Amino acid sequence: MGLQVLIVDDSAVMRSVLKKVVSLSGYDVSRFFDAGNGQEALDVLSREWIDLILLDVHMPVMDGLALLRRMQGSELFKTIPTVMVTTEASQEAIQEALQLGARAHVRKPFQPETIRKILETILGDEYERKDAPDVGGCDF
Amino acid sequence: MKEKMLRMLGDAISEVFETMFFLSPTPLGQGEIKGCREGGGREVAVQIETEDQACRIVLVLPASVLRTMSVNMLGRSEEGDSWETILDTAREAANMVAGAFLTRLDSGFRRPLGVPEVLSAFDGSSKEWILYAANVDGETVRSYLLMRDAQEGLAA
Repeated sequence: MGLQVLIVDDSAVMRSVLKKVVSLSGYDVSRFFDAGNGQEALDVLSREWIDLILLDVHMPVMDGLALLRRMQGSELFKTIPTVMVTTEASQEAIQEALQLGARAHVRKPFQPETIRKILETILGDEYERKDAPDVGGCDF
Repeated sequence: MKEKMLRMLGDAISEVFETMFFLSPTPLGQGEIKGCREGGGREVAVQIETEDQACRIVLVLPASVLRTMSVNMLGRSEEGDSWETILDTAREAANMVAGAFLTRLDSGFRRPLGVPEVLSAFDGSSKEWILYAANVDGETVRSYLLMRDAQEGLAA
């Protein structure tokens, strides 16, 4: 069965880019879910099984760190692998995200290859993979 | 100090444009910059600042370049063509440029960023602004920087 991936970013353009990058990473994705902020992400989490979250920090309504705090308080959500994908330059904020359970941090702008390698590290061989294309020099 | 900030801003813009939009900015020289403080055609100005307002960046992008950025980023012209998508691309570009600039500063100066905002009007004529300009796809992209406590941020 393929991955169910939740992408949380207030930019619809960035959500589209991240979907494309994850799709090209070689993992079989059965469905993508979108959220424009942490509150919308909680709504998705409350009704859908999610295998992986890509999460921005700076968003209106509820930011990424607040969402991680809420996830930490839930036995159901706190083990979902979460990757921060953000422009955040503050080391303190990144450390806080990692302490709150985020598994990795990717700084925007990013190369697709960076995200593919992180997904490999986090997801390993646990999930089904398609014949992975070489995304090293690809467009988004 | 101004030269160092200009270089870091230019590096940040190049990193973002090359990595995410597949465009290569060519920096304009001081003589060329003087003539471009006010843009000509249709442009979008996006402002982003740190939460403590110590650093403010305004990115001014010609609409034609923005459309190319949007299409290049999404890879499909029909999706990248809407005005809403183009403005979203402008906000995300400013967000990434500001983040990339801040990571080049001393780590103690890396304040959290606020949310980027499309400005209805922008006057960059004040001498307070540090202006970086580059040619992108035959058009001029301008970036204005205002930084409090700049010396502290340049300690790196």
